[in-house]
Amino acid sequence: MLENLENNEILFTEQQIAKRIIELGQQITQDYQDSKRPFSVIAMLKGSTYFLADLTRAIKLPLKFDFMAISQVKSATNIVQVTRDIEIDITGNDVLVVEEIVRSGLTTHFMFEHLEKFNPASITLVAMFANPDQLMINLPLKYIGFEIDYTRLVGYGLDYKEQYRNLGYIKKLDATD
Amino acid sequence: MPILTISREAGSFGDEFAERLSNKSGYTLIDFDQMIEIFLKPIASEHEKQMLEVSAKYFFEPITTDQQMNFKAYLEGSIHDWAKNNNAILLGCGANYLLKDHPRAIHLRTVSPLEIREQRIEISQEQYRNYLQYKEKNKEFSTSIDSLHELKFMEKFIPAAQIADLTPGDLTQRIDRQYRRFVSTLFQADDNQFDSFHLILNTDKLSLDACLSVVNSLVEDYEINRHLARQGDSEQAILQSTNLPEFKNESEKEFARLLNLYQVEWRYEPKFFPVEWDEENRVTMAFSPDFYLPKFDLYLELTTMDQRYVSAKRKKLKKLEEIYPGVNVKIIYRRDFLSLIQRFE
Repeated sequence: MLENLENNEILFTEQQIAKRIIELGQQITQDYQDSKRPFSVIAMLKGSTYFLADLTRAIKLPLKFDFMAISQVKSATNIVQVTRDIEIDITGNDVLVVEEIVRSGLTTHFMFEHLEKFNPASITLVAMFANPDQLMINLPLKYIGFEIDYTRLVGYGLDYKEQYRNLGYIKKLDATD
Repeated sequence: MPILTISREAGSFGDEFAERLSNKSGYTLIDFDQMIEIFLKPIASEHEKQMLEVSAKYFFEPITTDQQMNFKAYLEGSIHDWAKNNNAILLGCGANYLLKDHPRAIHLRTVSPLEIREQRIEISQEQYRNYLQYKEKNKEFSTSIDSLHELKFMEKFIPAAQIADLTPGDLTQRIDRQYRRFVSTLFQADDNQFDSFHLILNTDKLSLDACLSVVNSLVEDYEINRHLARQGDSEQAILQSTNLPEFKNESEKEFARLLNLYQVEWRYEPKFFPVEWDEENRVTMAFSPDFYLPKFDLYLELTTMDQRYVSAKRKKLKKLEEIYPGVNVKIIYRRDFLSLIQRFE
């Protein structure tokens, strides 16, 4: 049993997160409402689950969504591979990729490379949390919930050894001195 | 875009491959006769051109306008100059030797097992016999069927009837011998010595589409190197080494492994940027970023070991950005690196 992180600082409350998601939903609705193309939302398992659920309900557009997962596959090269692929057709769609957190951008880039094989009409990214200073490669990161620094975070889908994902708020992982 | 040279064994689909490559890339295809026409036209008479087409030894004859220079030397000089600014596919004619070590040239060779090549030549002979029949009825008839190129090439050396009647094995040998003779006479070389080629394509195992795809990757790789060479001071460009990278420390090795994990293409220290010079224009400070990611046109410099070097690297980076404004470099700090490796701990 892991400790309850009582002494750790809450960085974003449930209310802050909910408010920001409403704003993101409104912005995305506004940006895509005139598009005649189908709209698809793709999220990466598992961290983005809560964010996807809340965000898609804040987007007032017809949409379909799906999940994909990647993992480091044990082999001679141990490369990252898609272990759960999307099952919906996104060809010719406006695709919004939902990430709970973007730091280096390597994982997201890998996801983009994979999704581009399905020939979507457009592909953009929304991240609940992102550290622009840490971003190693350029991504079409159009929507950011909150900018963060290097602090390790848990809650609202973010885990530490698979724990704390179900916290409704965001806490710093390292205890405040 | 590079110059592509194609050497081929008889019946290895070299001509067909060259034609397809030309159609796909838009590069002009230049064969042996056209090469003589294009590059030797200013100095060779019609008779001399005819002689050059059939006799490799004639290339050692002096040219009329300069008795000190023979056709071979003239051809080498003019093709080297031409290759600096032009793109084309050169088929046969020992172009891999004419442009040996030329920085813009990529040398390809098509091969196949003898048995397969003989079968293909046999099919070409059937087509050739049909072609001869048509031609007998209509003297003006000509064909540009790719598979007949090799056989029509042999018309310079043996009668058409003989081309039609030789056994496929004998004809394959005759064509091979003709190809080899040119290369051995002019360059004292042998195309079966594979060290002069970038890529050897076995068309028995690879379809022509697969060959095109492989060559396309090679051309893309060439374009990345050219892009690197053009950035900053081209004199200082370091084209990709064929040696395996020698990482300076474990962090670099680990970082390369991470990029491999995500299948991000990278080059290790491909470029050297001088950033400071003394009064005599000698380089006193330079910056050679650790990694280059071609897809993002981005250089990465790792600062993960000793943080005392951070400010020195920042200083170099600032200078680099001032001198080479189009070059995109990012420093990866220790905390970035640790965050990256934590994901797969």
